Amino acid sequence: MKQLRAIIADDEEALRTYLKKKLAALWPDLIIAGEAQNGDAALLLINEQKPDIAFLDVKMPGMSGIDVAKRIAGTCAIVFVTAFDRYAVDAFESQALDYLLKPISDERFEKTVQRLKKRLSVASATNDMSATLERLSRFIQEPAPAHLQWIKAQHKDGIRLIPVGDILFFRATDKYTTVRTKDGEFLIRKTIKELEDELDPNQFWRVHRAALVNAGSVQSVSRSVAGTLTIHFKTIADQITVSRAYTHLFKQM
Amino acid sequence: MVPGVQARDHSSIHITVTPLKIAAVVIVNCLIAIFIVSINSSASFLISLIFSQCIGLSIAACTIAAANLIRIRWHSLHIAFIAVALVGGAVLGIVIGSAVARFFFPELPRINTSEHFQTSLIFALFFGVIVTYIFFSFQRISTERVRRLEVEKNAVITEIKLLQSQMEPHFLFNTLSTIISFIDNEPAKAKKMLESFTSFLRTSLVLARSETITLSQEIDMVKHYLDVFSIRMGDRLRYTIDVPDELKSFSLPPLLIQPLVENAIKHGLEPSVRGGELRITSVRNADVLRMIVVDSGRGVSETSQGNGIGLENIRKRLELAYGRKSKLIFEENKPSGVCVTIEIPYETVAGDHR
Repeated sequence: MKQLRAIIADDEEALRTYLKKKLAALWPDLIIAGEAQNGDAALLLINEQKPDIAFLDVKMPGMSGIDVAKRIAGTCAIVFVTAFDRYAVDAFESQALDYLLKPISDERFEKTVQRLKKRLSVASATNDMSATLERLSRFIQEPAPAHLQWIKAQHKDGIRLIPVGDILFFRATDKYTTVRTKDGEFLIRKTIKELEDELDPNQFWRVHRAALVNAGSVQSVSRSVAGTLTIHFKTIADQITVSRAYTHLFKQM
Repeated sequence: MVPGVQARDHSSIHITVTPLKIAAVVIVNCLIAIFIVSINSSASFLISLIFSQCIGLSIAACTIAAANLIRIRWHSLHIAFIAVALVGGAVLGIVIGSAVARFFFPELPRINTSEHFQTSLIFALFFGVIVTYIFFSFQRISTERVRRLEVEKNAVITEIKLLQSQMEPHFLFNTLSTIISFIDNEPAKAKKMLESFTSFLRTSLVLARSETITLSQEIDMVKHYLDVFSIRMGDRLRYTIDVPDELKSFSLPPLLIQPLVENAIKHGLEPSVRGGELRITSVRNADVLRMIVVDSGRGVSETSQGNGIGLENIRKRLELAYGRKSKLIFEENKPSGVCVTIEIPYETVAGDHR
């Protein structure tokens, strides 16, 4: 039987050394063909060395272990190494893929080695894992938020980052859009229409052709004798008029 | 002054109108009518009732309108407006009252003598001031109670947040795992890391429960936290802390800086292949104290998460402790990363330990 080769990818040197020592003790025949300290380097290393086994830390700087696994799917057996992550563990458990939990226990590590030896001796080392990896990445990566979380506004000579929760309202002014927070006003280039599409519609309500209001910052809505609705805010004295087309938003339950 | 108990300086006077409150005004007006009849046997109860209802409701309407519709930052000016509204309401009430009374009792003489008017006005103002004062005080007390509850709620959330960040599985297990991997080869490093980790747990647990701590206590906690990470991240994490000695004894609410550092590492530096620098500085500029946490990490995109409950909690606590005098500012750092600045008034909580 030819000698098997493995690579180790983890951003912490101490953990790579530790893993190497364990492997040397439990599987002296295994050759460590290389080490990588981030996802990008791991991918390069795997493509270059074509190892039989890759030990991949899941959370690495740059590309994650899952991303690396996706790119190299099918070329070698993969063992994920991860700190406790309930969802990830659930996902691993249900699949044939192997994983090691940090801190790594000797007993568990031995089992992994046995499993790898067994599987790799049966010629076809890897089956198609793409579906599994897809599921894993959904569990592990933070779900990409569909809505804007920050507004970037030019302010003096820097760029101010405004968490959308701090914004009381947006108002269209000539070429720009005014962003109002309790601390002041900022101008941005995004139009009210663009903002309406990109912000969470449950948080920001269009109340006027030219105004988008953070529902959470509204203190009260008053009705004038003529029936016009005006929005008052908790922290500032500004008021926003609700145009007729949007008065239904404030109909009493 | 104790943070949190201090009145918010933009606390506007606002009266919510409920059916119960209107009923209370009507009942109080009845009691006043009864009182007037009891001290002046010649007065007719019905007429007194009409007058007291008209005057009482008119004063209530005018003062509430002044409280709710006029929006002024300056508290005492607002109270002055309400006082003017009270007098106006009393005069209006007398005019309406006499009109209504003459409608029901046409034989009644017009109140046209100034003496008649004066007496009515004195009575109206006497009761008006007392009742309005009591009503507004009640409102203030209930507003104050809501604020208190909010302060307490945020303190509890802070503690929970801290516990969560300490018990955050990745932080906890990665740290333990690093310690284990050091034990055989580099026991000295393992020992140092375990010490830093223990110190962080200990100081943060104690400090999170205090109402105010000193800046140097906060900085110590942050140092322990950073020590743990700098062993794990090696030269990918470089940090400097620059806090002048004269600011070290300054008192402030706990855990304002630590969550910012945690964010900078978690979202900015840890995911970056090259890592980066973290700089914590504190400067005093006249009566403003600035605490700045800058990282040169990945920065945020417009849809980056991480402005969640942690930052929201800092903002709320700042607002409750300092009102409008505090600021939490996020900026893009050049060439990369995020710069977060906390601004608080320098004098407010200085020297206060509770």
